[in-house]
Amino acid sequence: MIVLQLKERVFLPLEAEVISVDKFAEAGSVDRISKLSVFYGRDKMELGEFFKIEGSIEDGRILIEGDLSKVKRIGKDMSWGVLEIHGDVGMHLAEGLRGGKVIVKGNVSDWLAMGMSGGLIYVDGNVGNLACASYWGEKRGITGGVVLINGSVGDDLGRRMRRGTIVVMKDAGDFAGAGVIAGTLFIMGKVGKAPGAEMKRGTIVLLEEPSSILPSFRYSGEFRPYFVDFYISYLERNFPIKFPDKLRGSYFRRYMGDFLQLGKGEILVCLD
Amino acid sequence: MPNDSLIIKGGIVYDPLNGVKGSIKDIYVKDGKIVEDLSEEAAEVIDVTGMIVAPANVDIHSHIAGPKVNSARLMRPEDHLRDPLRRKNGLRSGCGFSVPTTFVTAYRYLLLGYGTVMDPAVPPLKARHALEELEDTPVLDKGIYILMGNNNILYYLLKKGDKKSAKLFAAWLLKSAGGYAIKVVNPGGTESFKWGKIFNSLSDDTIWGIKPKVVVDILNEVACEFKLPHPVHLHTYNIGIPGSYKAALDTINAFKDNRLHLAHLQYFCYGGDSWATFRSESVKVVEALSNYENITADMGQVIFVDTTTMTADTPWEFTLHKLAGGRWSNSDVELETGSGIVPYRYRMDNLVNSVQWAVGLEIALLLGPWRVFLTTDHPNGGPFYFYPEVIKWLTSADARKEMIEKIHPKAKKRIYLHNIDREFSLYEMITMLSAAPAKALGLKEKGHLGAGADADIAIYKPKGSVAETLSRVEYLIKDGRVVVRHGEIVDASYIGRIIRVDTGVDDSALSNEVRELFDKFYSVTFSNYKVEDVYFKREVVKRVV
Repeated sequence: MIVLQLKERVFLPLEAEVISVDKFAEAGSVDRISKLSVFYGRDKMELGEFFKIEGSIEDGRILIEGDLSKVKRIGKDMSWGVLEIHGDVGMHLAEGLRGGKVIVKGNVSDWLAMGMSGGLIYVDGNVGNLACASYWGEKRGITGGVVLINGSVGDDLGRRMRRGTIVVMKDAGDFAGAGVIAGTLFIMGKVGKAPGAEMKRGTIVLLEEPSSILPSFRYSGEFRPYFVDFYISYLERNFPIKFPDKLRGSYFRRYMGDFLQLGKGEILVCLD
Repeated sequence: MPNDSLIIKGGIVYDPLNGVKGSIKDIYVKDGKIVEDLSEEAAEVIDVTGMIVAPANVDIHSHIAGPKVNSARLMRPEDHLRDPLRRKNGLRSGCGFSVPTTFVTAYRYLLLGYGTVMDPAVPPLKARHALEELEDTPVLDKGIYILMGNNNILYYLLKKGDKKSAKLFAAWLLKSAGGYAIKVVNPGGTESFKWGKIFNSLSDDTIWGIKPKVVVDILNEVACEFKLPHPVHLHTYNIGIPGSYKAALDTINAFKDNRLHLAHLQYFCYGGDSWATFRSESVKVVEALSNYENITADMGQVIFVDTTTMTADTPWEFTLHKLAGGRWSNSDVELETGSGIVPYRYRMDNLVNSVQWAVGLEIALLLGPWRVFLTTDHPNGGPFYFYPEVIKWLTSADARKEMIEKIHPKAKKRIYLHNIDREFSLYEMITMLSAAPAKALGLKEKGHLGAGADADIAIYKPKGSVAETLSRVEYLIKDGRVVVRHGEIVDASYIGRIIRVDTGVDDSALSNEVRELFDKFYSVTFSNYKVEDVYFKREVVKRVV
C-alpha cells in the first residue's frame, strides 16, 4: 500500500487527477510518483510538494489522509485497485471511474463519479450536488458501476444516468433521478422536489413518502416487487451496506413516468 | 497616455487603403491619432528600420463574448485544462483552447497584431453580459452585432403591415442594446425550431405568416435609411449541409441590390445531395458573387483541431449534435432567438471536414482580399490564434499542396483547391487582415495609416515567409500606446473601447403597443430592457441619421 499524507491544508484548488492507481502504477517508484504534476491554482507543481508519500503501489492500494476538501479530480479514469481516503474530498472525485474501488471516510463535494462507467464508490459521509450526474451538455450520466452513500446527497443525484446502481442511506435533494435513462436508485431518507423528472426508464426506490410526485407520473397500483428483495440481498452480500428492515418483503406504491418522456420509468414508494 | 507622441521611423509601410505598397516612410502619432508631421524632439522615436509597418488588423467576425461563450466555457473544462496561461509580466493568468478567457483572448489577438474585434451574435436581451465581458477584454476596440432575424416583435409588426414601426423598432433595438450592426441568423429558422418545425427558406411563410426575405429587406432598409456603417451581417439558412450552396445563391440573388455581408461563407458553399456526395461548389458561389461588389464575405475557415461550435442557428446545432454525438447545449432567448453549443473536432481523415477545409481557401483565393476576409468564425471553424496557419495556406501553393496530400484521399476529387495557383502577397494579406474588413465595417479611422486615422499600428519583423512574418508582431501600437514591444505585451492595462452606433431612435419613437408587448411577454419590463450608459465607459459612438 502507498500512503499519502497531506502535509498541510491547501487553500487553493489542487487539481490532482494524477492520484489514481493507474497513474501511480505507471510511475512506479515513490520518487517518480512524487514528481507527478498537479495544478495548484494556476501553478504547476509536483505532487510530493503537497503530500508525504511512503510505501509501494505494487498491491494496487492507495491510502490518502488529510483534509482534501480543496483537492479535485482524485481517482480520475481509474480502472483498477483500491483508493481509500480518510478525510473530506473536493469536487470531481472518481471522474470517469472504470474499475476498482474508491472508499471515502468523510464527506465528498460536488460532481462525485461524473462519467463513471464501472467500479465501486463507497462514501461514509455526505455528498454534494450533482453526484453521478451528466456533465453540462452531456447526454448521459454514469453508465455503470455501484455508488453507495452512507449519508445524504445534494440536488441532481444521478441526473441522466444510463446504467448502474446508486444507494443513498439518508436524504436526497431536489431532482433526484431527473432524466434517468436507465439504472436503479435507492433513497432511504427524504427526497426533495420532482424526483424522477423527465426519466425515461429505470427505477427509483423510496423508503419514505415523497413530498410530491410530478403530475406527469401515473399511479399504477400497489404490489410487492420481489426484485427489490433480491436486489438488496445482492447488494448487502457484496458491498458494505445494510438496508433498513422495513424494505424487506414490503409492498410498494408504483408510479410510472415520466410521460413527458418515454414513460417507462418507475418510482416505487415503500408502504408501511 | 504614457507617450502622447511617437515617431515610427524607417519602416517599410504597407497601407492598402492609401495605396502605399512597401514604401519606406515614417509614421507620426500624436494623441492617439496618426498625424502628417511631428517634431522629433517632443516624441519617442521607435526605430523600425527593415520592419513591416501596417495598420492593426480588424476581425469582422469572432465570437469572443456573451452568454454563449460563457456556456461553452462551462461545458468544456478539459478545453481549459490543456491550455493554461500563467501570470507573467503583469498580465493576468487564464486558460482556454477554443473558448479562452477574456484576458487570454485579448493577449492572443494583440500578439497577432489585432486592434479591433467584432462579436457577431449578441441577442439584445443578453447585451449587458456581452458588454461586461468585452470590458474585461483589454486594449482591443470591440463591437457587437445585434441579432434581429428571429425577433418576434419585429415579425408581429410586419404581419400587421406596419413597416414604419418595424423599422423604428429595429433601429431602437440596435441603439438600446449598444450594437454596431444588424445580425441575422437563419431568419425564421431558429424561432420555428422552438415550435418543433424545421424551416429552411427565404421565400416561404414562417410560422408568423411572414417571409424571411421580407424581414431581411426591412433590416436592409434600416441599414440604408439610418446609414449604418456596416450592412446587414447575414448568416443565411441551410448552414453546413450538403447543397448549402443553393441557399447562398438564393440569398445572393434575393439581396443583390443591397449592401450585404455574408458571414462565414465557407459553410454555404457545399454541393452534393447527401453526406456521401458532399463536395465543394465554391466556384458557383464565387461566380454569383463576382457580379456584385456590394456583397462582402468572411471565410469561416476550418482548422483541423478540437474546437467548440456555437451559433444562434439552433436547428443546425441540433443537427450537428446528432452527427457528432457528445455534448450539446441549447438555449432559448425569450422572444429574440435561441442558440446551441456543440464541441466538435475537425479531422483530416474525415472526407467532409477535408472538403470544408478546402472550400474556405477556395473562396478567399478566388474572390480576393478585398471581398473575403480572414476569419475562422472563431471558435466554430477553429480558434482565432490559428490564423497564421490559414495565412500560410493562402500565401503558399506548396503549403496547400502538402496539406492536400494529407487530407482524406477522396477529397481531392471533390474540391477545386489543387487547381488554384494564386498566392497572396504580403500586401494582399495585409489588405485582407486590416484594410478590407475596416472598409467593410465602415470604420473610417481604422485599417489605414493616413492622417486622422486611429494610431492602431502593427509592426512585424520580416521572417522567412509571409505567414511567419505575420504570425507575431514585434510592436503593436494601440491608440498611440505601445502595447507590444519586442514581441512581448508590455502594457495591457488599458480597457479599449466599445464601438457602437446611435440611430437616434429613442423610447419615445416606439408605439404604446410595442411597450405593452414587452411588458406582456418579456421577463424584463420595457424600462429595464435598455442597456444603461454605465456599460459604455470608454466608447466610440458612430452617430448615424
